Amino acid sequence: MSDKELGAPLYKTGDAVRITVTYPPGHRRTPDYIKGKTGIVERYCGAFINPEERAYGFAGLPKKHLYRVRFEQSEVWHDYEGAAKDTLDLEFYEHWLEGEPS
Amino acid sequence: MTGQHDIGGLAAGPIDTSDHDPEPWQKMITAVYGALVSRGYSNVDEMRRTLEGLPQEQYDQPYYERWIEAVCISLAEKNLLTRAEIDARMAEIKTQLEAGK
Repeated sequence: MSDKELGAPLYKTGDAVRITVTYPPGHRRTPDYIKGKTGIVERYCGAFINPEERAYGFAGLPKKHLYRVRFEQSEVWHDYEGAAKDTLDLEFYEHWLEGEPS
Repeated sequence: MTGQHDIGGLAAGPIDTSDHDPEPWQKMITAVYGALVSRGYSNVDEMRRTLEGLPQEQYDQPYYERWIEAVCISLAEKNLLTRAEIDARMAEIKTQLEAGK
């Protein structure tokens, strides 16, 4: 077990990120409804074994940086009728995020 | 293309929230899956991948029926049991049960 190929996390709390719009084959955990939406990094969660590889019996190394991203509900759902301050938190591995790191 | 499981935000009909007790065979498939995980033959990501990749007619089955299909795929991928061996054993048990009646 080694994660020596893993570099420093690209993003930090407060960075604006957009979820990449791609439809690669394979085991992907990023739901369709959030693709193309922009949120703010709420926290860096740490580095974890890559589930997209682990799902096929591979080791999933090097680990991948995972972030919790906060979205405004009105950004996610265009017909959202709840309070304007309502938010939604989802977690993503770094390769699903786009945007210039601050 | 999105997977058949990726339906967040789409209309999906009413949800049955009624309570029910699990059947013994449902507990058994849960135990079999747990044994595979504890021995390193499967993991949650692999289980989700096999479940979500099931052909439509299998994916539309109830929860634990789907689990059985997914566990059979894992068993075959790990070369622990082939589908033919599982089917043969099921036929054998069915014959025994019918003979016992």
